[in-house]
Amino acid sequence: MQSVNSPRKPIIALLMALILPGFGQLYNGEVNKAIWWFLSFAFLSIPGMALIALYLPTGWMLFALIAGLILTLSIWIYGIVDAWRTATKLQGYRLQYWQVSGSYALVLIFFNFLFMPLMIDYVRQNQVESFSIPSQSMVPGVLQGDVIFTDKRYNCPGCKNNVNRGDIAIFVYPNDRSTYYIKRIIGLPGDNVQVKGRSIMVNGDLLTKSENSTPQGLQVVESEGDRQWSVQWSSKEISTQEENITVPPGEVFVLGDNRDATKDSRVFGTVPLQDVVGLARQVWFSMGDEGVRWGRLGTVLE
Amino acid sequence: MDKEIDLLMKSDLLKVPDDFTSNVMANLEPLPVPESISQRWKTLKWVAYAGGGCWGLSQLLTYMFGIWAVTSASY
Repeated sequence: MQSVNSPRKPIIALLMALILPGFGQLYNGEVNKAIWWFLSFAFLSIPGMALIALYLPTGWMLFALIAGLILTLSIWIYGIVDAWRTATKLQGYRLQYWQVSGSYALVLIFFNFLFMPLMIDYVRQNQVESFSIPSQSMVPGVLQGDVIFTDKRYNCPGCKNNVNRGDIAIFVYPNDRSTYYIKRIIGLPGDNVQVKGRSIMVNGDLLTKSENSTPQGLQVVESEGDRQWSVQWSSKEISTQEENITVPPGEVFVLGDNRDATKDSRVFGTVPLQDVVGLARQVWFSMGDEGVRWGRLGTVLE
Repeated sequence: MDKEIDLLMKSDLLKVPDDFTSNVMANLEPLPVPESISQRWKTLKWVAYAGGGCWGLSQLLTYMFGIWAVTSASY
């Protein structure tokens, strides 16, 4: 095909760069630049920063992910500016043989509608996922209106994190698999868990370390090994519920931290380990009746 | 040569004969007038571009903010 003079239109370059980083550069005939621009955007920004964030100390996770978002936006905006500027200079441009509408359509469909959705799905399924907490079942540890990051490298072959007692975990609700729940892991497979009123014992050890009466109810500090967390009993009436179970193999016993206002293993039984999907790490946003709870942003969940 | 052009430029314009149109223009073979693309197709083309562009932009934004999109941990 004989190449023809086809001056580059800056507005077309800008619009193409707007919908896919590197696409505007492709329109300008800069193939290598287009490839690197796209790779920077697709890999270094979202998946790269998510992976980095998970290997940093937990408290740095939110900042690393914000940095990733800023990097993504910067690559995108600079790509648009670069495509516009280059197109204004290419007024005597010879069209390449591959620069036909079908090529552009193929690139757009492949990268924008196949590659990037698959990539972000991979990150959400295997690295980091965001969850909103619409209930009070985990007060005081996790508040209603918190939005948290969870580490998905949890409870899977070769994963960094195993399930441990005291973990705040996201799991699929056994009685409705379209719903996720958030609770604290109290008993592992084979553990003996005894519930007697407000006393919780695991393998004969009482979890309660200290108690403190507050206007909200009884605040109890529980511990298991070197881990420690706070739970709340808000009802003035002490429950007479008694349970003595051995957690079946392949399952875990979970409890909400807001012990009188939660549906947990005392109600729906133990949860299959394979349904435990994420470990809660950090609060990245929190909004209550009083507005945005700025003090909770970045709170590490223990 | 420039001098000849200058002299020509100084002289009066040629007078076109009255029968120029009937004699000269009649012998020219008329070329077919190219069919113009209807305005409707042009509009449809730009609507398609705009639709594809909006869809592409929404996919891009879904990717950029994918990690920040929340799932509900209902209870």
